[in-house]
Amino acid sequence: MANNELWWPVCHSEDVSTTRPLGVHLGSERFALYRDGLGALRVVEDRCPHRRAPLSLGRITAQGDIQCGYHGWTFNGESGELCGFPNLAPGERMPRCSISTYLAAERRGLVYLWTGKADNADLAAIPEQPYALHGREFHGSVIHPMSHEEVVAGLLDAPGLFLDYLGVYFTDKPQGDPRLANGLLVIERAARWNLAGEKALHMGPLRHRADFPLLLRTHTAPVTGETTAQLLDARTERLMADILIAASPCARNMTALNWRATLYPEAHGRLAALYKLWFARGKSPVSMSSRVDTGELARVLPGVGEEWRAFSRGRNTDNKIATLVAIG
Amino acid sequence: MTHAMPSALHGADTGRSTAIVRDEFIPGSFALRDAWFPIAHAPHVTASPIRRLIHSQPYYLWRQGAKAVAAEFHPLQLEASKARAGEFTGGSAYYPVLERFGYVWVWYGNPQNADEGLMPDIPYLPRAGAKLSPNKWGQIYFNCSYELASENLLDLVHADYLHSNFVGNEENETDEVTVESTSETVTMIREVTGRTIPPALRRLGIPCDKADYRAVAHVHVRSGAIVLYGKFTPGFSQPLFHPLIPESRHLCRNNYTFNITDAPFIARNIFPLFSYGIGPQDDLMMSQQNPLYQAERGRRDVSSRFDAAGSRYRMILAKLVRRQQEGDFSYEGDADPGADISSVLGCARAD
Repeated sequence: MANNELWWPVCHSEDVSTTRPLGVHLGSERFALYRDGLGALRVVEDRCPHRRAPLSLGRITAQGDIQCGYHGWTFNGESGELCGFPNLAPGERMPRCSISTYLAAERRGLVYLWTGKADNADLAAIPEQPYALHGREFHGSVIHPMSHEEVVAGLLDAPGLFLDYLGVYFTDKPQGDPRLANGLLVIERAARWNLAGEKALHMGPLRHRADFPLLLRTHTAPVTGETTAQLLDARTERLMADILIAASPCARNMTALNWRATLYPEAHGRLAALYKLWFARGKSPVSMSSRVDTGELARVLPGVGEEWRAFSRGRNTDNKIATLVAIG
Repeated sequence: MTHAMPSALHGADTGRSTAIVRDEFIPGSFALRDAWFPIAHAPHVTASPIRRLIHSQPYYLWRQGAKAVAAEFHPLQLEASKARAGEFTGGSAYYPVLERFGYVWVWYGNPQNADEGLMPDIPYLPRAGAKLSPNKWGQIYFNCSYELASENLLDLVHADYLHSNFVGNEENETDEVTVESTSETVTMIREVTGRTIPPALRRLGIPCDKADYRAVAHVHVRSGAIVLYGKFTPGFSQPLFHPLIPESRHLCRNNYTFNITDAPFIARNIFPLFSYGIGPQDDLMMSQQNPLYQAERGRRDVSSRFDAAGSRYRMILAKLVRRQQEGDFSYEGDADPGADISSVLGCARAD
């Protein structure tokens, strides 16, 4: 990770339980997450100092401590101190050892992990996304076989390859330049109905329909790439559906994407009716694609994503995104 | 028994580093040699050749008539490849082979040192072999180096915890562990009174809630041949031969034989199948440990008194590696791998 003083979204709040720890990768590091007896979120290094087994394969004790699944060494998730192991005689002294603990916070149904020094952790540094729950919500996770940088650049250059909006087509290229709002890069794209498939736009009876009654507006955190994508009615700017996409680097230079989607109940129109029907059937009409057409992605011409890539690498700091972030 | 062998260090040809970071346990970093390995169950070796590996060294096994043969090359390419035969076959392309205890054993090392007296003793298996039903022997892969799997077997605390459904938990009245060793072996003897018998064992014929338990793990460090013997009183014995064949730094093959003889019919035939429940439980942990042990440097493990046998194993392994790094592949005076261990195990000889 180029920047190690960040809040990284690593999983959904629902994934972290009081019974079984959850193992997550962030880059090459491994963490075990769980909730203690009081429901407090705990994050520890996913490695038992006894025989190096992952603590995420263990369990949570009745006292809310994390216990290794191999030999039962048990650690307090707040202090990291060893607090017991099986077969110990009454009064017997334990070896002195501890595991590393980390800070974590929850926002919008996601768990954010602080990767910097604890003293520098500032909850205000978690990007304020416009995503908010409106009634029913769906969530999911995918892992894409490409680096975090490629995923974020791809999301900025060709969101259609990553997002599944039922029956909607949107342009790759943005309308106008990106702008900065609340510390997020805001980019808008023209969108329209496309129930017949993309080919129909060019070849079928819809080819002369030049109207784009919808708008896709994305809000992207400049460093982590966390994005809220909003589908709006272009004329009224009334919101229809949001998806929050949390990207984080994981093992083998791949990227974990945790997404949450919600539908605005007041949305109306034919598309809104279709989406409501989908929600009622227990399906999300908005989600992340489980697979990316990498051949198609390779053909995408450089655009905003390329500028973001240069910005994230600290090069070409005179480009549009770097300038926006510097001013912001 | 002493076998001097002025030979080049093995290891470079398997891509392994021969450098051991002093006092650090890095499983899979060195290929110990000059030992017998029970490379295959005897019934698996037929007229049709099979291929096995020891520390990445290929062994082709087949039978010529009733006699088992092991060679560096496939029999169809043997004549054409003979000129490339290596030092482990003395240039002949054929390895030393013996058939004992229901296994085909091969020698990994200088063939001139292949002495039957160095073959581990397995007192509860007939030396001449026996026809056993197929559910009493099998193969399990562990996705780790054989050192980690050996240490796992010397660590009975994990059994109480990870395999408690199969072997019982730590709720014992008394529990004593003794560790003995030579320059080649580590023996852990655990004597437990008032052990809580798990429901699975009660159903298989141990007629009480609590029983005494004596378990012995006898580990041959060089070859990974591990002789296990447990006995519940009242109850039955669990004679498990558990050899770990080191195929690579990341994989070892367990050619086990679990021949219970003194239990009711159902237990005799069902209990050995526990291997397929216990094996994956261990593999879940060991496969995760393996890359950490091989990649991490400078972070020492924290141990407790329950790790005495494992710590002894690491110490003896390190000494053996050091000696072999210096070109000494001999067995020291205190080492007698072939010694009768029936009294240590507390079992009767099968022959």
